Amino acid sequence: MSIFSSMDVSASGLTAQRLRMDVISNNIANVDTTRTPEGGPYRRQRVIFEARGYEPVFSLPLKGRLLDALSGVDARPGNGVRVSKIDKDSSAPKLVYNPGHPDANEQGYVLMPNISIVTEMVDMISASRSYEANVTAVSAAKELLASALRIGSGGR
Amino acid sequence: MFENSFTMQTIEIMRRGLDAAALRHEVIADNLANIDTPDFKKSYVTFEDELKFALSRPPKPSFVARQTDPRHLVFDEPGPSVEDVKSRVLRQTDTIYRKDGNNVDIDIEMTELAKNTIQYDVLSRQISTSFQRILDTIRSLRSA
Repeated sequence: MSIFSSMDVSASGLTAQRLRMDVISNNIANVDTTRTPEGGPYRRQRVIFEARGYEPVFSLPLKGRLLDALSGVDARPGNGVRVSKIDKDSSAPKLVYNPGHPDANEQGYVLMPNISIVTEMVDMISASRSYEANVTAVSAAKELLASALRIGSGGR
Repeated sequence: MFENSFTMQTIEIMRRGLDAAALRHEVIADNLANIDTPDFKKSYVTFEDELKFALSRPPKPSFVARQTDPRHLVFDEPGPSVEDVKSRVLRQTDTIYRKDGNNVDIDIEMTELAKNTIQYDVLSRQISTSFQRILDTIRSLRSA
């Protein structure tokens, strides 16, 4: 483990947040999509994040590290994050009264995607902020390495 | 002949402070990468507090009680030696910041990141200055 590998960890965060942004953009673009290849309106997608190299505390005794679990000692930094899958939101599509729409049913209702623009925008702001936090972490790692390289060269 | 001098011991302690700061950076990077991961619990690094405690208590007590029996009380418990102080990664399991179980607070992590980066810079400059002092001493002896 080193500062270099911490840059990989931050990169994994950048990738994950960027993928989240792509999914959000896709949701926003398809907010009015009533037809999809698999039939029915577009269903909202979302990313599922999973920590890499993460040892849950209750798994430590199983690995023979009971004392670590009892004292809360983890002993190892994790290995970043990954998107384990892109899920389809299972909530029901919205019913909107629009008899003139070509996809309206007999009662005049159209099945619209279960997407709220407001929710997607808030999610996008959060993803953007998390992305920037990881960028700052990479910059800080570069600063640490630059400081280390200056040791012994006169203190300046 | 040189390794046990006061300066080298000080440099050694500062080097371990640098190691702790580097480890802390790794941990903060992991916390930030997992800032949106459900059920993720943040980790943090301890070192400076333990070092401060070890430095404040002498390894050998200055006034020793006379014990003729192991049950006799001692006047002063010897503190941990400075060599034994290690940086440790601990997991903060008892807090929740959001409904999804994640407890990473972006403001705390970003502040820790800034503090840690500055601390690393300060320590590396101090080490450089200490080495520079040794070099200056050698140079001044040479020109004498």
